[in-house]
Amino acid sequence: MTETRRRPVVELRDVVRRYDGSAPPAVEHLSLEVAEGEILALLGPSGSGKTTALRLVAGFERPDAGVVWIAGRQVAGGGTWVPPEARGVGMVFQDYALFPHLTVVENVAFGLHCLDWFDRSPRTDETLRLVGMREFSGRYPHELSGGQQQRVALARALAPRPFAVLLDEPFSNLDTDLRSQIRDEVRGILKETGTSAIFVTHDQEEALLLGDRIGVLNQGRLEQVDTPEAIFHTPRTRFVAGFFGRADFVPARVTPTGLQTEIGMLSQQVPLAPDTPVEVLVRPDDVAIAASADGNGVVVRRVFQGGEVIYCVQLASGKTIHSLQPHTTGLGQGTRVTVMLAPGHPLSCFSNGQAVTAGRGQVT
Amino acid sequence: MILLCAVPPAYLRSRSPGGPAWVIWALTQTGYALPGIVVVLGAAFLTNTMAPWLYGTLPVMLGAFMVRYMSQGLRAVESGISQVPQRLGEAARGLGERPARVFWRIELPLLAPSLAAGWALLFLNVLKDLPVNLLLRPPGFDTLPVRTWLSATDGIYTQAALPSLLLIASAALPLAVLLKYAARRGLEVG
Repeated sequence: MTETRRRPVVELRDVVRRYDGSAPPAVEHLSLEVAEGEILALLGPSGSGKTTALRLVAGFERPDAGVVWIAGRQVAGGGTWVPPEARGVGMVFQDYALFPHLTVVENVAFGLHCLDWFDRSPRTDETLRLVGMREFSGRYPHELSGGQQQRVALARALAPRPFAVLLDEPFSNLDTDLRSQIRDEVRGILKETGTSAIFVTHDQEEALLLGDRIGVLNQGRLEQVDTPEAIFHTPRTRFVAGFFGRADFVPARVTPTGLQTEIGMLSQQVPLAPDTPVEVLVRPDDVAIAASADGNGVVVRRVFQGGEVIYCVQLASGKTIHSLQPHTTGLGQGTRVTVMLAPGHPLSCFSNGQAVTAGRGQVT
Repeated sequence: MILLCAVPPAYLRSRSPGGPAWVIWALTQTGYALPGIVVVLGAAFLTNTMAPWLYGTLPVMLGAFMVRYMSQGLRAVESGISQVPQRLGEAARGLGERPARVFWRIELPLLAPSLAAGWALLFLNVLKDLPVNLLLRPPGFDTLPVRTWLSATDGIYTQAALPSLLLIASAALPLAVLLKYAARRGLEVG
């Protein structure tokens, strides 16, 4: 990375949290850091430990091992314990958890008890203006729409100017069209205030749009933390590769000149012994197809997506592979086609689920 | 009399936040399951043999009321607590409030309606209770049901009418509270 290293606002080192002695831990040897002003997306399927990770930072869970720092202060681990109210992090819950008996203003002002009364109202005013909710100050939460409640929840978390804001699946309760709008707004607000944030989601698109960096969690372990581009182009594990975008894994064998697959030779070399079985990550845009009577595949499905068409092709081995073609191609179901790999760049390949090459331009 | 009735629920309130232990719960259920007269006779017997000077005093009466109605009070408070999501408390702590203040600012206000309803329920029960009053009341401390009962057993039904009416009238207030609470809950659900 070229950017200068800043002091992390939130840092976790080797954190373990297990709920049940016999079950595998919810979070296992988790290490990550969030720089000042950075938005980190924690992405993973349900049960991957992402919410637990967030609650460990907030102080609603105690780690069984490992250390947590917030703004340079150790808050958990090694006999230290700082309760949630003294950590200076704001939390936005999935269901917003607004106080139903308090108005919008009172909700936002709730965390400002250490300010004297005189400073309190300008601050709430300013925060409500930031999220565009000033005209709703006197309303109660049940009088607001989901999107408005979301904004109030964010304002409430931001008002005490926390070191970091933690967002737990913040957009999952919103309608699809509202979601993208609120998402952009939230990112704008976080960037405008320079607030560091960790947010948890199971939606890869959301993670790509919102996160400066993305951490992919699987079964309590962090598989990779990287920029969205790096996660997409050079996934470190098969799990990460499969989680982002449409991905097919084509079995291949290592040969001295490249990788031999069912659909042709890939002239890229990997640092593995010949004959080692590997899997090649193939995205639909890496696959070329052409109608041919003696082709090696048959179109089993055609998915029209407007500007482009995704063909699902079954190969002789029974494996299916997807190919992205312009919308002008009109291959019908059952058409015999020749399938070729035409990536134009080295493809990631995996041995035992771990990436073998760093991807691009690796030569041995 | 009213003050007397207000004590058990108040007592309940103070112990509710910790989450009632199973033992306490089981004990209160036992108190509820036993016939009132058994509890009362037990209390009368115990005080008479072990501490005669306590017999017929308010504390013993209170104790008997607690045994009899604790489970109802607990149930009311418990249902109230279950309606306040734990998330709210966490949200409040995340905003820098200590647990005690969180209870005061968030949980208690949200609990208030169910506490009021619980109180009304208990008030009704204590108000019309006969066995406890009859056997454990201090001298001269005739509650309305006692008056009614005494007059009725003496065969002076005209004298029983007034306390009965008063009893009904004073029961109307907590009943109104209860009904209002039930109606509001119905509205929120709908």
